[in-house]
Amino acid sequence: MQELLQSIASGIVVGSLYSLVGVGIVVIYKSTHVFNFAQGGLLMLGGYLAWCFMEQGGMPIWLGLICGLGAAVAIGGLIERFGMRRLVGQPILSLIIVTLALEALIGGSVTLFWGDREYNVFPEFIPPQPVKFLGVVLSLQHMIIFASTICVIILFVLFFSYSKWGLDMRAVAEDHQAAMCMGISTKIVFMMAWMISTVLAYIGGVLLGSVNGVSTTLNHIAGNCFPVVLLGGLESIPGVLIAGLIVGVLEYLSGQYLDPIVGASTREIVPYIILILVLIIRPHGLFGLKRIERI
Amino acid sequence: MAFRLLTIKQGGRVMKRRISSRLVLVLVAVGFFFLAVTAPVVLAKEVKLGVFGDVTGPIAFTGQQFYKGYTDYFKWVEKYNPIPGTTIKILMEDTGYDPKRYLPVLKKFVEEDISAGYIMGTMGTMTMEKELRELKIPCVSEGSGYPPAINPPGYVFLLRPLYPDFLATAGIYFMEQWKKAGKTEKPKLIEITWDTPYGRGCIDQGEPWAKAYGYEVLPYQLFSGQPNDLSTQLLKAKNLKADLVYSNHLEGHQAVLLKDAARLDLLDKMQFCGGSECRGAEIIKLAGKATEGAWSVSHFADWTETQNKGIQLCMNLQKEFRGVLDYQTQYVMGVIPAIITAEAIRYAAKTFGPEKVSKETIYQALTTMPEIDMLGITANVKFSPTERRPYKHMNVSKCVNGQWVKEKYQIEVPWLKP
Repeated sequence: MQELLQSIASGIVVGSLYSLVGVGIVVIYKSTHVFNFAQGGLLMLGGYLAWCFMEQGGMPIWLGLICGLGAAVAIGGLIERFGMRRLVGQPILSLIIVTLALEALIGGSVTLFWGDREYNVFPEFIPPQPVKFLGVVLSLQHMIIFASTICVIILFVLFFSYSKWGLDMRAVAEDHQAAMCMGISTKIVFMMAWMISTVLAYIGGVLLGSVNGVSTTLNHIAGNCFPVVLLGGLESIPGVLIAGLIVGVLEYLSGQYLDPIVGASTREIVPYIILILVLIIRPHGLFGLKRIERI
Repeated sequence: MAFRLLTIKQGGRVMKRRISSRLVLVLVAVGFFFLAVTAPVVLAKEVKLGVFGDVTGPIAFTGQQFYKGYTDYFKWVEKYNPIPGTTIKILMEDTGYDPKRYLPVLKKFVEEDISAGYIMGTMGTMTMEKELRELKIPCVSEGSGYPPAINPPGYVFLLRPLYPDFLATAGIYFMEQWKKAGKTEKPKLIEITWDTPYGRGCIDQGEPWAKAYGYEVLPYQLFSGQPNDLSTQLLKAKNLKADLVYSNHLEGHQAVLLKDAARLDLLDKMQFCGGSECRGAEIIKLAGKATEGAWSVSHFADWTETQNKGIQLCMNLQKEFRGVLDYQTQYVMGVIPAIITAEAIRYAAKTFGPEKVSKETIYQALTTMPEIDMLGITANVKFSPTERRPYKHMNVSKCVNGQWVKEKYQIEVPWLKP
């Protein structure tokens, strides 16, 4: 029983991290209809930025985190201004390919600038103390990851539901031209979407980096986030949260109960099996919008 | 005094001049002088070495450190202890630990006519082993996860025993401690390891050996990717009452394992031991106090062994060519293949003549030369026409007060049969 509870708890924590990264992908998709394959790279870059300011720059933790955040915002803006904006009006596939190129560019740049150490470690700002409840033991780091994710997601649900900018972004996602006719600047909306997404990746990078250290493998987490986003429905933030938790828990349960039967690690394929099954039944994901087009 | 006639055509007229033979001699001498100056000097034989550099991709960091150690040692050789009649040229191509990239790089190296190579991992060894046999290019390799490379012996020369021997080293030393403590029941061994050919490298030969050696072997636990939480695997080990947890994975993985073990209060209940990639400064930074008491099995000496000549050499290389002392286990590992290759070239040059140094003579050197003095970094290396493993002695290190220190060195391993 303890194993089951522990698997579920660990799965929820790791799943929440998937959700956090997934929200970044959803934010861009909601506004621009571009599926951002560079989210993993941005997360890795976020981790490196924080580490760079705190360790290499010798800044106090709080200042390093703020500077990293500022850099993340700037990078998001620059990507939109000099990368994506020039491709407005081009086929959506071109934009998606650009995000793939961006992922490779970030990976190469990080290796070039900081790649001489395998793991870069933050000064300890979240102690790995154990937290026990109901026979389950989690670390404080994991609890903070979970709490941060929930807070961020609630914040974004509110942002998209009630704030002017959030509503503008939804309007642009719905119809660029109609939104422009209503006086909404699509340029600002696109830029904001990229900035928000980069900030989310930064938060993910810092949280994940505080557990595993900052390394060039940080972006691997995105591999598990893509099925999460598709499962939740590309445009639904609560959907991504729920899908992340489902995938996280099923990963751990499969590790616990399927691996001994199969004789290999099934964790990495489980999200994709779930994804295929769900997409067969609900092609728009669990919470995605079912599009009806007039012919 | 003799006289000669020179006929000179000038403006259509033919002029004849008498010049002394002394002048001719001077001219000849000057001619010889210019010939001597402009003629190509007798060049030292250039020996080209091909490095299959996994300097990007999943083991990028490891590959980069390997490459630094490898090139620094050859710089040192060229500067302080050159191989007479030869110069070394190192060619490196990025293979990214990607199976698709090794064969094109090998083709390029063949066109460059390399005499020997260096492979940084199991992936490259698996991909190229057959071709290297056909092309007869001797390569030293870190790929201890691919037993077919040594049986039948081919052109891959391993830099350490196979991974099951790492497990055997931990098994032998743990059993020694177990018996010293007066325990009579069978100790329980569990592997918690990475689900890759490298991570699984100990299972097939290591676990049957452990059973025969007196262990109760528990079902191995695997994980994939970069784990964030290994609680489920650890709880399995706890419930099955494991005594020795062995892992063949990287520092980041071992750090998560140890931190989670600390969180689940398991550090005092079982001994954790990793392979050679589980022993570095980074793991201590990542896992902090949870690393205390952990073991690591490896084939080379600890950085803290400052009296060890090989470690002193590595430190000097770093000071001279990098300007800083930077403890990286993979740097030391990169020096090892360089020493073996350099000594094989030296032996080939001495035995067959510098101009005859080639892939054939380096192969002959590697298989027939006497023991290579490794200055204490590893046990001394000796290959033979039938053996591609370098030595039978391995070390166990322990994390004490935030440093990896010698626990027991020179443990003889059985050389488990692939």
